[in-house]
Amino acid sequence: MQRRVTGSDRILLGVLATHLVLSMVFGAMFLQGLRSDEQSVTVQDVPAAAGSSDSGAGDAAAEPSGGATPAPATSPGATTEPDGAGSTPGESANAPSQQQTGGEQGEATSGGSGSGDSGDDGGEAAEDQQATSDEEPLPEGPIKIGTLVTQTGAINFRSAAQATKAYIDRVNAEGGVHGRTIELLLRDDGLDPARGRRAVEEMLNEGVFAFVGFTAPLTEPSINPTLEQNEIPLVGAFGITASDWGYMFNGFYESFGWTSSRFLADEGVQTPGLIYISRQDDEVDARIEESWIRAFDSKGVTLNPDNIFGVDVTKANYDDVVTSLRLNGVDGIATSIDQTAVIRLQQSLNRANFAPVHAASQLADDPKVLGDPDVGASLEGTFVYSEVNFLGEQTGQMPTYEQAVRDAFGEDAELNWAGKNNWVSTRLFIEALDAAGPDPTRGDLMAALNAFSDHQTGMSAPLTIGETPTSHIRNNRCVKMGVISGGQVEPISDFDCYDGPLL
Amino acid sequence: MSGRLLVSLALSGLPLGAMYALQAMGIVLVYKTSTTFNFAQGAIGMAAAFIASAVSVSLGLPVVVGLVAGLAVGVLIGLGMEVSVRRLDGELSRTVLTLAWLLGLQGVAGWLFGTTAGRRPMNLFPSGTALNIDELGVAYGWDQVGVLVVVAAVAGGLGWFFRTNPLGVAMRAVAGEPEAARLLGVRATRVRQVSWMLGAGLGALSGILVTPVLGTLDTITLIVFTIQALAAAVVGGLTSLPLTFAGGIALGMAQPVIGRLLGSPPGINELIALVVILVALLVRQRGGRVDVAGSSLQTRPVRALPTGRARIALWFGLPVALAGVVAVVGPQGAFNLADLGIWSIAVLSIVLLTGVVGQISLCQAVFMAIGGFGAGMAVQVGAPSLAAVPLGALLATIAAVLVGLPALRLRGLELAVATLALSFAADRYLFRFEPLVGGGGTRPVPRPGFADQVGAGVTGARWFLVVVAVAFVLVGLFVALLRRGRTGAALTAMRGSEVATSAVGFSTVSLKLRGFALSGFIAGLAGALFAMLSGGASSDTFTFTRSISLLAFALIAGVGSIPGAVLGGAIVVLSTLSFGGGSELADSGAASLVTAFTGVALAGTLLAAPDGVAGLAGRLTQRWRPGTDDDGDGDGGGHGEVVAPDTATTGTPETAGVA
Repeated sequence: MQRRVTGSDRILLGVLATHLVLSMVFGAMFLQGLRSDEQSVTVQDVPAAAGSSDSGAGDAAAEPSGGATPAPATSPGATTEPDGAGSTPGESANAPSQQQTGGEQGEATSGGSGSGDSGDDGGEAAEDQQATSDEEPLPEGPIKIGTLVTQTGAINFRSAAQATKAYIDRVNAEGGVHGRTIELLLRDDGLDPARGRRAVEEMLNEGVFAFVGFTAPLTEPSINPTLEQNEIPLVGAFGITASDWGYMFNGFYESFGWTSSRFLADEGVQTPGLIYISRQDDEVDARIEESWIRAFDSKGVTLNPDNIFGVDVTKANYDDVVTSLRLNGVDGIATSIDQTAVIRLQQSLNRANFAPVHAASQLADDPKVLGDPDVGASLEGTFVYSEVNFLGEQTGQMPTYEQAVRDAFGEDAELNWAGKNNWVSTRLFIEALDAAGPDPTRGDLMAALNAFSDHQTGMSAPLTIGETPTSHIRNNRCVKMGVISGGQVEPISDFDCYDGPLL
Repeated sequence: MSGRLLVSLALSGLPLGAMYALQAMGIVLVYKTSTTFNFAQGAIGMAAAFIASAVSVSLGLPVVVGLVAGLAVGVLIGLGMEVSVRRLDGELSRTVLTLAWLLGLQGVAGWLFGTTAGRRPMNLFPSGTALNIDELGVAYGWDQVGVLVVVAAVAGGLGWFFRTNPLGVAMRAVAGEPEAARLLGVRATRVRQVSWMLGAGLGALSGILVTPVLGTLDTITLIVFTIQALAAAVVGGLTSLPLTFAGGIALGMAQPVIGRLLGSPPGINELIALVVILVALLVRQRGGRVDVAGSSLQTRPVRALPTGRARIALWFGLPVALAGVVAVVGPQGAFNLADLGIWSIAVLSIVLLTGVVGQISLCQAVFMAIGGFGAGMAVQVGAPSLAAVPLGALLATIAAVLVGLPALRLRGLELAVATLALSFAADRYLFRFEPLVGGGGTRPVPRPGFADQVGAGVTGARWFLVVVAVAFVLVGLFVALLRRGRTGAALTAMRGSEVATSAVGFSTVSLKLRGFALSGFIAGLAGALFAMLSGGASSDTFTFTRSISLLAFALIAGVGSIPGAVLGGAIVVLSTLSFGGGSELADSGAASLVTAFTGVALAGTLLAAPDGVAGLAGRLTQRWRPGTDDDGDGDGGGHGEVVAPDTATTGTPETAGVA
């Protein structure tokens, strides 16, 4: 029996049409991609994004910036840290004290490719692809860089996107690098790697010179093959694995474990516990646990496996963990969990009236945590370990970072660890680009990065990068301690640098 | 591990168990009177908690005002759901409609309040320790004690209400003997309205109470929380409030103990709930081999292949069109089209299960993920890329059989419950299970290097597009051909009457299981191809939301035709486009709006055109071309068109439990 079109059908048609029209608006981007584009490339198709021509532009160097401004687009050979040595706790006696020298950076600029691995025999070369990307100079015009950040979703890093955008905007406002402005392609993966990979593909097809401040943890695990096949440098990431092409300036578990455990032991903790976000990888989880176990051992304190909890990032309630810690007589805990988890854990601690000595990760240095009406007050006295300076410190780049993001985003400004790290990543990219000269190739950029030695970042201890993939991602070995007091983290130690073996 | 620790852990789970019980009792209350499984129960709680937070925390009004506002919103949502649900026959259709509400509520909440976790919930009770029992090693905060007191009072109140209050007695009558209640003058519609409002009110109350205990208010946590209520409700047989209450409490107390004994792996609570659901379904025997009205979704069965000139045009046109596309499309276009083809194959898995078998699955995205990981495992042990694709699909098929075995013995509703539970549990546990997902949750699956074999000038993305297109055509042909022959006839008959189908010698369980397994295979195939397109298998694309939206998009597009699958695939692809662009920050509002509109469109589809856009287009075309029946099957529909369902193919009219 055939059904006739009714009035309700017409209403439904209207609803569906609305839905489809909405979809079509967003579909414009999709349809753009369907157009034949002979210049474009595909992630796994070709070894590199195309550069169109040699550049004769950009002889004029940008104006050197003052001490308080970001993005000092200095000419090669100049000292890149305007903040002054010894002005931050990071430049204390405990930290490596060497400074960046102009000579070192100049050598890096002329050193050519730091990664000669340019071939991709398996890649299907596009018709017009001739040279490998690390040898190609930048095309004329603005320098395109790609930034993928998880900006939306339950867990997001909007602060990282804000930091990179604020930094680049200020660089452009001061004339760019060697007279060339930076065009930032900022994309969101919405915690969906499918969307993230599509965005990466699109940015590659738009010819980005490099990825900068990539903070999309769900998309990142698959990014290394893309970088290698397309020979694209990535400067600043959330947690990539070692690669010739990827750079990261975060701290790492060995150094976090080293500083926080020894600090807790010095505070008199005898029965410690550890709570961390599991990385869903037995090998990595074992490395995390071993980092704290070894460090406690070095102080004669045993971290019992019964008191170690690898939790999921979505864990909603910590009552069971707190019950176990409490009954096991734990008197101090180190945690490596996200901001909302810090709040949930503190709620459970408060319910149980249980207050072990607590060393929280750098993620706790966040106004949303410290100002939480329910637990903010009870977090007072909690210790915080961090590889970068704390918010509110009037030293190095911290005031500049805070002011720049507030100026750019007003009430929507978000300041936290992810933002600080992207500020550092973006800054180091700009400095390397500057050091690479007016007509750089990707190889020049990477050589400049590799040559950074005791390089001032303005937020961390000086960094030495180097040529090896491991040194590209584990170069920030120094961690400092602070304590939550008066609603913010006050520094209580200088940077303590881990010099033990990497697990 | 000491006994004292286990006791303490069990007691620490008591408040959460009470929350499970409260939410589950709302589900059972609704089911008893209107045979609808309210999958949106958690979403109602989320909406109420957001409203309470907005009123109390953001506006600074007293918590009592926030509580009343939140409860009022919950009750109104319940009323709205009843009004919409009553227009549908068939418990499965009504239950799917609650999914539309879930999407709508999630989208609107995300649009109004943002999707970022960490919004401060309204706290009815002060913080700090309320009760500390050193002997048992347990301490409760004021919020937890408050939860226990409120839930105990609600449970007691419900007992009194159903025993002594006339309305409560009428609700029991409608639930137990609907026809007798009608003859006695009970106004069943009013009773059902009250039960929906009461059930939704319980969901709202649980949302308001539990968010401070969970310490988070977002658009996901409470929806996933529904799996715990599902488990408690299934333990209660969807009918017994006391058993449901006990099931919730027991589940809450057991989870921390079992979790600790197993080393507290991430997602263990959701896994325990899934196991409870599957075991409870296995234990339940009701409904397996009898006709239960509305046990199939009311959609038009998939049409057979076109005939005559249209078939010739199809056979010649497709390869020519494909060759033309490959010749002109650029690499980015090839990537996008391959993406479209893959999602269309995924939708075809729903076309087969829903359009042919008449069942619904809420875990197709899970099968896609398993297909991707299976392909990754095959690659890891040395299989060529293309051979890894069917191997991944086979792994998904095995998973489908494991899930289908307990659920398919019963009715379509049970399959929906089991598959939704699997989606939740996969999100939290399975996709963190390293032997499946590999270290770090990803497995590399390289795209095959065709260009090496066929020469320069044609990029790998283009050739991969060819692979996807061939896969789509093969799967599409298979689905269309399935309707022919003995199996197809049996499947069509089973949608109308399982008893009649059994009477002529078919095992309905076997038929459904075969259909579900094939559907799992196709979804796994799509997942393996998707992993190849992306360069690696990862689970994060395949969340429970993806499973629900995949079904929604398929139903909106129309599960009765192959072109409908392409339209469904297109909607999926459009929904995954990145919002924002240039150098500006993204706005979460756009994505939330799409989710909300998807819910609205799904509801509209179910209410007014169960054969979706493709069917609606077919009917409109028919209106202008009366009498057209160019495929020659006598039903008035043309190629790729779908005609509206009739009683011969969509099951018997719904009567159970509804006056």
